[in-house]
Amino acid sequence: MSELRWNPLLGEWTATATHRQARTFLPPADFCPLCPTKPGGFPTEIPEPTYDIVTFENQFPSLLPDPPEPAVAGTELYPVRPSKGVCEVLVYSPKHSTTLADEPVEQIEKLVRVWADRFRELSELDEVDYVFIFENKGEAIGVTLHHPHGQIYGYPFIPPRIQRELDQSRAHMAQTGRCLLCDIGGEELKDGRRLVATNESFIAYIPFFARWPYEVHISAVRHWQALTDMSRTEQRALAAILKMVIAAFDKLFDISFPYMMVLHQRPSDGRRYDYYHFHLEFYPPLRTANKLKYLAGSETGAGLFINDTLAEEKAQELRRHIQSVSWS
Amino acid sequence: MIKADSETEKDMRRRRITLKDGRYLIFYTFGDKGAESDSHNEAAKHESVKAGLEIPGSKRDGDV
Repeated sequence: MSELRWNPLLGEWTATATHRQARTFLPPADFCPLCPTKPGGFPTEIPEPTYDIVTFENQFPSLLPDPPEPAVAGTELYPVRPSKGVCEVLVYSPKHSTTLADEPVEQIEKLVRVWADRFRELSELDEVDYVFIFENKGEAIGVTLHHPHGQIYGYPFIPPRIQRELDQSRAHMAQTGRCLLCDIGGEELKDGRRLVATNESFIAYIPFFARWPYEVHISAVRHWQALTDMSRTEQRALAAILKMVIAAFDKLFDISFPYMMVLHQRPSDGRRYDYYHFHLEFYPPLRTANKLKYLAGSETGAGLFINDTLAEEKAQELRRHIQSVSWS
Repeated sequence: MIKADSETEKDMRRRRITLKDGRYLIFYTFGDKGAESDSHNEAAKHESVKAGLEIPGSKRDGDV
């Protein structure tokens, strides 16, 4: 069963996807469904071995191009709609035992180019108003497959977190005539204490208002809205700064550092969003090597995040592990 | 499984296939890897239309 149920209390949709309960859960490496099928081996999701990156429709999607009719009838108070959309799985490498941080920067550049291609294609679908690209990494986040991969959701509406950023960005533009993310980037550059890494096209920082101890944002220096607006030079620069940041994450506690990585870009509903600004956000759940930051009562019930750390100190920690990137 | 579509964008190539259960899968290859998928196959593209995989025209036409 899969449908969208309206929450009149918060003014947002909840997706139900009961079939996802049956999805593959932490299989042994020999039975990884994201590895290419081996000759004589069990059939995986990927029938051929020759590729750099592969994407496919999720076998257990939350949103479908042809969704079933909702299991319940909606009411005036509780509208229900089919969960129409797209869910893709994006496999970063044929190699099972690697992570994005372990991959050479050239492979990350390929991923950036595939991201742009997926945005270009999915944003043209009538049923998709927002293309959301993300990665959940590590069991601490709840991943069910260890093979390095991300996901892409094509939502049939603008999700609430993005809508809030859009509203804030539009209001800031109306009030000041300037882009909000450009101003945030300028403030972080001017202050410097929260900077993690910079290059010619991107800055990485733990924002002043960070909700997670190691919450890093990567923001474009030039003002643009979507992956397809990037030049080839900017694609390379994004790959380089991503490599710097996620490699530094792994060095923090000498572990494969868990995180959620999300890309925030303009919606694809046909309207103009010139006031918005492309950026990525990382939400790592660890606050120390072996302690998680939980979303407890205040965070979940009231929406107020309580951060046990100072962004200035955590940025300094991360900066110590930043290394320049070598292109082969 | 059918070969449905292949495209080339400079040194990035994509080859779309349809899995037995009807889902699409796209291989991305760069450089020399997978060079056999370089050529654009019009017949295969028509197969993709029949399979319902063709991407509809841009919704931006006329509504921006």
